[in-house]
Amino acid sequence: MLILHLLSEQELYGYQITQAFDERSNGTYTMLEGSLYLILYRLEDNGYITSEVKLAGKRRTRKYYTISETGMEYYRQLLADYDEITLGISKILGRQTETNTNDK
Amino acid sequence: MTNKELNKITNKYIGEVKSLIICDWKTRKKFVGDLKNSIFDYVDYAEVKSIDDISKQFGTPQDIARSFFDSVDIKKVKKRMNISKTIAIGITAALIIWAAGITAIVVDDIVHPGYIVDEITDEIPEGSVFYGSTDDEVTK
Repeated sequence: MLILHLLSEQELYGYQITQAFDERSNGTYTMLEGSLYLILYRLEDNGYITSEVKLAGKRRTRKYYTISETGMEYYRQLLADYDEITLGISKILGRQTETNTNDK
Repeated sequence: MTNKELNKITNKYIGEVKSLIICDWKTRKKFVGDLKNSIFDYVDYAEVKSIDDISKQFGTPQDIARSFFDSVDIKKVKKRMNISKTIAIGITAALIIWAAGITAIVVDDIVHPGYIVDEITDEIPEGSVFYGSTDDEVTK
């Protein structure tokens, strides 16, 4: 879901995705680039993202990833599921009511 | 760090990763290619002096192998095991049939030995019959 969120904003390559995780979470959440690719492959196999190889420098190439229409729908579904789960957990912990959520 | 040195530690790191990951050859080839490109990309942003510096960004070879293992599709593995099992049974059956065939030939040869001609001579054995012969004595 987090990867799809980042790609919903703009196309990114591997290093940029890991940096975004690190910067936005203030170092709390780190994604090792070696493990990232397996997730990207699975997302691509399922049609949620597409990849494009672009020239980076004289002889080097970079693979940029972009979210697809199917990916956007799947991301919205995941986000809705996440909101439902976190609301349920918050209620159990007594931290948040449904009214508070609606205010947000 | 020179390009040669960077190539050396990159190849060493990639070699360790390749020896540990469990996947089909297609995924392996794709992953190794992407990983190599990414490492050379990373060098533009950070100082890389050793494999440890690469591992900090990409994970140790063991971390990567673990993520491959965690992402294994059990259904695909089961399907592959079934195919391997079927092939193994087929080869075993073929070997048994071949062995049975060889055994049958050998036993038949022992039970019903063939005739071996020791030598060929010009002498005509007694009682031989010639067809189409012009010799009157023989025709009679």
